Amino acid sequence: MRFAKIKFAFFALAIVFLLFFSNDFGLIDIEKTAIITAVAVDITEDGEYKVTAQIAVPEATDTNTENQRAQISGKGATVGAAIKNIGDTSGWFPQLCFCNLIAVGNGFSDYNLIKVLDYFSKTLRVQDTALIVMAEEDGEELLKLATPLDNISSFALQKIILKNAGLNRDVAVSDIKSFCTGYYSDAGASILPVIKVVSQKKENENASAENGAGGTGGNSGNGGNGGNGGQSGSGAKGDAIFNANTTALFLHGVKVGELDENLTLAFNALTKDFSNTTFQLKSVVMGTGTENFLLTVFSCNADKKLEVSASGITLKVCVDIYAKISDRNGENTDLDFVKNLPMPYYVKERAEKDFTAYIEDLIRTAKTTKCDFLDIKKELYRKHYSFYHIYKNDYLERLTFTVKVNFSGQK
Amino acid sequence: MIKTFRTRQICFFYISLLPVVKFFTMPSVLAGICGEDLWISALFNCLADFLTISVLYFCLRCENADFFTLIKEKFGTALSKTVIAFYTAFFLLKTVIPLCEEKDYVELTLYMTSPSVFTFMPVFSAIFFICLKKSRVIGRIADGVFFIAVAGYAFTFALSLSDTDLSAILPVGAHGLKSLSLGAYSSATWFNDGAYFLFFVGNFVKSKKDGLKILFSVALSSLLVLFFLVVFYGTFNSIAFRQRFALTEISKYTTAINNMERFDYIPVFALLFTSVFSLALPFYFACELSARLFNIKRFVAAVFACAPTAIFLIFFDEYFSTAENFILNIASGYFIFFGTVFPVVMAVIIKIRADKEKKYAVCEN
Repeated sequence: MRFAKIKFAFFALAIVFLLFFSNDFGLIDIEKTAIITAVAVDITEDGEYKVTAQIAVPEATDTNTENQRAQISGKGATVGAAIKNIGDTSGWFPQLCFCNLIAVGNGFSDYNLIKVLDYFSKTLRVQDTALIVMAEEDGEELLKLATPLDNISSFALQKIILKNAGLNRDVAVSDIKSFCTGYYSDAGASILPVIKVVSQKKENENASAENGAGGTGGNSGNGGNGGNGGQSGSGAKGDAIFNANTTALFLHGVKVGELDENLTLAFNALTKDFSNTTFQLKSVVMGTGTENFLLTVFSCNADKKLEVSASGITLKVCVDIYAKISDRNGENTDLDFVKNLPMPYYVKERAEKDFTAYIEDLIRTAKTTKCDFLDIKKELYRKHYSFYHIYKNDYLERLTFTVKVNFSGQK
Repeated sequence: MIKTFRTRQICFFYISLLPVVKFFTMPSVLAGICGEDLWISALFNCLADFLTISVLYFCLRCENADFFTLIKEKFGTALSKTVIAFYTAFFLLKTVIPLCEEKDYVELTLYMTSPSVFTFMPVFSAIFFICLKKSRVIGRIADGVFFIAVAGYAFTFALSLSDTDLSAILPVGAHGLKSLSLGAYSSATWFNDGAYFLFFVGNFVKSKKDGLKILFSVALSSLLVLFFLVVFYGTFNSIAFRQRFALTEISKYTTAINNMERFDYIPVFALLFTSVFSLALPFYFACELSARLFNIKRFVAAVFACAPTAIFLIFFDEYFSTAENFILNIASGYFIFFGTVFPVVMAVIIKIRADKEKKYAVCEN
């Protein structure tokens, strides 16, 4: 009997704890809950923050996919106030824990971005693994776009930013945690991918206009897509795709420069898993003619070593890339290319030359912008602490570097 | 005398119940004071606890009563009552921070809206229920939660390691002795676990190599805490000081979370379940001592032990920041004195007196 009592007490205790820890005492009415999938932050002309939330509205039926998304904006003197304003004006409780994307508008280019993003890093309502991107124009426009990639534009953006295994590592991904870690580090350097909207229809129209220049004057007045002008360059409904290969650099929260596609690629090679990324070589001189090549990286070992002494500070970058020729636009093929055995000299030489130039440009960009996105100061502090106080203020100016890139095929 | 505890239960007590209360806000407090050297500050406290328990064990292992009964036997009722009064205050103070941080943790991370303070009352009822039980309940709790706690630690650490940059704790000792000492001092409320051993020493069934087992468990408990701190700082680096609730944050960066959502809450729940019993410990021992101090019934003693913190939570919650400042900056000296210095000194004095008494007994015979 006594044993049964203890068992009952333990069982009751377990149930009480389960209810308590799982928040079953505080259920929220789902009809009044706005599940926010993405947030865009822009700055208005009067200096207020405008937060636009993309909401997946819980619906009883699923007859119309467009019903599942809605955008609501709120304004406020702080980001938190603007989000609160969304709840106040809509009557929905803004549920941010599913928010996986934060897009900041280009209006913040000369602004300390931590004033915007600090709210998201401090609040426990947003996961700090939520991706952050900088829109080329307004953040709000990004969320409003209709794209063929997905019914919900933020999901399409996430596909572009967090690519599946096997696709190129050509986006410098940043989330709340990594941005804030960079901002609050000694160097104060952070990065964000810049999202450029590419309208396929517009590109096609431009191409056809170029092709038919001079002979198709009557078509120029074709108002078939004239209404699209109201979409601020966002493209016609359903034809917008995204490009995230450019990277914005931030020093103490303020944008100080950009990395183009090649430098972003080089940055990822030095800092992230780079396997399966493809690398194009154009117009490689082969004897009398030229050919284009596509290389696929199988593995990339990048070693950044900082050598510090009283006389100077040197960054030695050594990148060892094992790659395969996946494609070439040659007139005929031969067994060497198929087997990649060994990588042809002119391909290897050109790949090494190009990649070395990219990495050198990358380091020069860090020096000129004074944005230490390569974490050189972190290395100086952690591994050369005795010299830290000597170099901490002007280490980028005094930095010299050597870059050695080795491309190889099968050996 | 019938012994209350077994060596196994003491080992499980240190491994499962004590590390978890140090996983909530302590890491961020330490990171704010000593940056990447947070683990060194914690190491100071761990070494102090290890030393205290070692001295207590080696000096008092042959005794047949717990520390407070020994004080009464050797030094009389007046000193014993005074010591008990100080330790009652010690354990009552020790309840405040862990309880409030767990309440905040649950409310802020698991609840979407701000729940009423009464939502937390199931935990309080559990603590009160434990306080009503005899000492044997502590051993049983240690037995009961051991595997849940170990699974929680193992799972949490396994999920955390993928995003940990262990080089983040370099350079070692750059923050200087002053910061490290301040960190150790400020975190005293979470440590000084030697005070729990005052109830165990002389009150457990002796077994083969029990000293080795107990000290190994204490060392393992310390290693769990130090490892957690290293992983925590390795995960958050320069923003570690802003991560108030380390337990939720640390394991969510594993790649699998992206595909399977927050299944890391499974070990978090396991550790939260364990922590309810960990929270009950200072309440329980305050209740035990107040019963001895005032010669009152267990129920009244439990009310005495639980009421101050409950009243604080219900009516004075807005003063938590003041209470936290007081406990971390002023009361820490009290914790260090009664958690480390006093037990060590008294254990040595009791040992010397006991040896002298033995000598006299031999001479007289």
